[in-house]
Amino acid sequence: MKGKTRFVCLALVTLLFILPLFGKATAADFSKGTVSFVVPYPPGGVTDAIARMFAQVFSKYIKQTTMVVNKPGAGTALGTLEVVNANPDGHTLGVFSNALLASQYVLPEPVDLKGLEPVALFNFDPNTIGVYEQLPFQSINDMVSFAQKNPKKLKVGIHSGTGTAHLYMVAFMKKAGIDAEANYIAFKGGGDAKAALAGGHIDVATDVFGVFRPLVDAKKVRILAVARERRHPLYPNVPTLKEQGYDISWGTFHGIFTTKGTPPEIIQILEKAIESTTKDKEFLSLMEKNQFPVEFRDLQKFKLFLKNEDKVYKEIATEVGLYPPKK
Amino acid sequence: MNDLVGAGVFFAIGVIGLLYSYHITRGTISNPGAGFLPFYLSLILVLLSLLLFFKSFKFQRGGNNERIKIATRWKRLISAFVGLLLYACVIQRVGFVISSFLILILLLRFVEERSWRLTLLLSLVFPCVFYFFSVTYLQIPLPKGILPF
Amino acid sequence: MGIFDGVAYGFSVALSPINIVYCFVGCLLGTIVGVLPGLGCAATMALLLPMTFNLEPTGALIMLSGIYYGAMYGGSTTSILFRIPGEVTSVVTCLDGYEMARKGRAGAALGICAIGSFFAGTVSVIGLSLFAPPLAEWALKFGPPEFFSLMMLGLSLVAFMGKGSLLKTIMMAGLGVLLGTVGLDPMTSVARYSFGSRNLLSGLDMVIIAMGMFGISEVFKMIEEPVRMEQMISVPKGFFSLLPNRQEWRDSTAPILRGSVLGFLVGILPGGGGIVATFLSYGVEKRISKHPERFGYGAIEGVASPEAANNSATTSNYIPLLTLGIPTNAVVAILLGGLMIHGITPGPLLLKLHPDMFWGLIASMYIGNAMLLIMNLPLVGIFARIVHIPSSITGPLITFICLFAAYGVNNSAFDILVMIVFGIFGYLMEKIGFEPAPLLLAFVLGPMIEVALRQSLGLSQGSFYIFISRPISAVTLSIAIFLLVAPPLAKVVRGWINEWRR
Repeated sequence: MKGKTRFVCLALVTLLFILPLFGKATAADFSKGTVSFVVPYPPGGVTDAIARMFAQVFSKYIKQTTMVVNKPGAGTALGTLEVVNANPDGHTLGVFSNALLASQYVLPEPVDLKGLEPVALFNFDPNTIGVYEQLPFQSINDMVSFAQKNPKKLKVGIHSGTGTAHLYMVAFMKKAGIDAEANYIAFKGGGDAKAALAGGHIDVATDVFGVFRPLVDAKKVRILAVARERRHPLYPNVPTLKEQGYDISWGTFHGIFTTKGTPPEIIQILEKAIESTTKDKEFLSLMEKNQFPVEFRDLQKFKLFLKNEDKVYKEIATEVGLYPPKK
Repeated sequence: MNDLVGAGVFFAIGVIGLLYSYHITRGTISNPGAGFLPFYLSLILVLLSLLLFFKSFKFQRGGNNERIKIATRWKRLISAFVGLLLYACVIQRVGFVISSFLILILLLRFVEERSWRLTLLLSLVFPCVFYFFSVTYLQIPLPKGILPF
Repeated sequence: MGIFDGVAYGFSVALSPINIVYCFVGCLLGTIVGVLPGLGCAATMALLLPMTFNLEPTGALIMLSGIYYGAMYGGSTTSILFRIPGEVTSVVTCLDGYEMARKGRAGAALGICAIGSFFAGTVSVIGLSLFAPPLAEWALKFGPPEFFSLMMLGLSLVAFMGKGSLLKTIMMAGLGVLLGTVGLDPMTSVARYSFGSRNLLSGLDMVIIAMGMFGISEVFKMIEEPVRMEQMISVPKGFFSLLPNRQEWRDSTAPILRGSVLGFLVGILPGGGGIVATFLSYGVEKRISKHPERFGYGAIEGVASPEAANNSATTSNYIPLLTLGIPTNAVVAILLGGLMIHGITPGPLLLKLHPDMFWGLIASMYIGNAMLLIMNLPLVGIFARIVHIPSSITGPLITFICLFAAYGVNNSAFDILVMIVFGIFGYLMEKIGFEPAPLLLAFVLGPMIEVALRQSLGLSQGSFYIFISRPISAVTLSIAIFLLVAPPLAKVVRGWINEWRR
């Protein structure tokens, strides 16, 4: 290259190295702007759908535009980091579920949750236990006695990754005393496990009502129990786990989190808006149509809930042998 | 010559693969663990690379093995490599618009030797248009970097 | 409601003015999205989901679907013109489509894509309306052992995908599978090859690698040899020389038929859908062709069949979704999300409770296919001329678009780095005779095979017999062995016969 060109080249390259030094973050006034909801999964899943329904209605109460940002990867780590590293100005919210807590004990390199500030819970969906329709089990005890008499014949589907389904299923099997007799088959996600259950390749799996509904209608899956305090109003024929002798609190929850260090006034504004959203008719009808229960727990109650859940996860993960994670 | 380099690359990849999968539980063929596939596959790659290595010697006498063609414009190629790698490293800090502006200038003017007029035109228009559309309509949060908007 | 009544009803729904508008908008958006690399139709659909809140559910679904198959039509465009896969499913089209463009037959390739896709889409829609429920049942019978056998069939065809040395092809395929293991193990969450980086923990993305090894490396080739396209091909005279000529038509008919059927069947199965269908159809075409050496250098069968397959698969993807609520891939999962948001539960009740949605959707697919054909054919002329812009301009611009696209796939700057690295790697490897296609294919199939294998062994408690004892699995494996062994065996047998004759 000619001398002049070479010089310009060098100058540009040097510029490229100096420029980053000028970068700095700009603060913004909270009432203006966009609120982003970070979903740590690719679009189309349950968390994503719920987040979108929520964001849509939430914008009415927070008086700003809302958008959903999908940041999948590394279990839920990448999405979590997105919120942890965001500006603590209340504009970046995370829609996280049990997977967040479970990831602490299942992932080899979990994100430190101290970087998050919980705001409120807005959804709690009890899990159900579903079996392949053509199997003769009519109750949990049928299934348990089958497993006891036929070791390693009961094919139990678990979905791994940041598997709360994994943790709870195993915990349940232990409580029922058939952990050693169960044959656990791991799947990449709830969808794969669902398909395998519907086809009879596995015998039992767990998920929330909304997800199993089409399969129940198509007579592919029978739900043996639901982990709820009382029977579900829409399904009075399905007994609870408690009735059948297992007192386990087991459900999928969704809550809003934001970055640590966000000023308390802003968190209060967010909390109030979340509460209003959970009482909003439009939101309630959207969630109900899909059988996603809406439940609001404010900041204090949410923090308590998380603490308890966390204890449970740690216990189960240690018992199951997932924690500490093997390298 | 070509094949020797290829064999060498795959040998190196295979060895790295072996080293970094050694500590993961392998299990057995009837009950494979997470480390089973990576380890044995890396082993296979190492063996295949050795096979290629020996094959290349068989052919060298026949003159079938070509030498690597070094491109005439290799200096520009290297600048493109380096420029692009730099782009990937600084885009988060410097921002999409400025980084793209610079890389386009590099590619259009210095690698491809187009006129300054065309270069500046394209380098300014494309990044700005793409940035605008992606932030307003597509909701892709491109890195802002040091720009205020 | 009988099938004919249903279809008629469906058309009455789909032909209502507002639904036609939704269909058109969807198809148009889909085509644009498909043409732009990296801007996945999944992301666009997710983007539009909130907007569909206020729309009526049938219309919303029609529009979202329009985006989906519109993207399939458009995705092949950049594959053919610039060797950049616009969509994940158009990767295979890069192989022969781009070579055809280099020979001046870009228009023919684009034309065959449009027409083949239309035909496949039509066949597929008919299949969907006639056979949806029984096919869904059949698809459910595919469990881990069946998937293993099917993927092995695909992998065995990889060995024949390469143009050059078999050993090098296999080595690239092996590397592809190895790269597929990077990240968290899907079954035990153990970190593999993450080197401490959280970004690597989520694994590598196929689109990123494809854009790097096909697109970016092609740009490097352009830099290396500036005298390329514009000097090699003469400007086509007149519109009709742009379309496929008679010979090309004849050569494409059977592949399009085969691709349609294959794509339709594979698209019903969970996991992979369109991508696997394109790989399989390309492999099958090459295997049964009388002149397999033409593949990789511009064989139109290698364009017609995969394109037909992926369009066909797009439609059959809906079968498990509508009948059982099971999404077969990430894009269809968004449609499921869309249904959920409107409070519609898919399943057998869908047909009873919302016949207008079910039949309306099917009818609109047919209309959409026709619309896309009409939209795409004139564009063929415009696009084919883009090829004539000097590569010194298109090269940098393509690079820029790829950089943008790489970020857009996962909102990750790290992906840009990965793409560049693979671009450099792919370019250098191609120079010494190692092709990218086998790597990519193996990268997609590898993890699926591993998961299926481990699950199957879990089901059978360690016994390999499960792969042969289950009928579907046994049949698929036999086909795989047959395809592998038949041609060389035929040669040997022919040799014996000749010997015996003498």
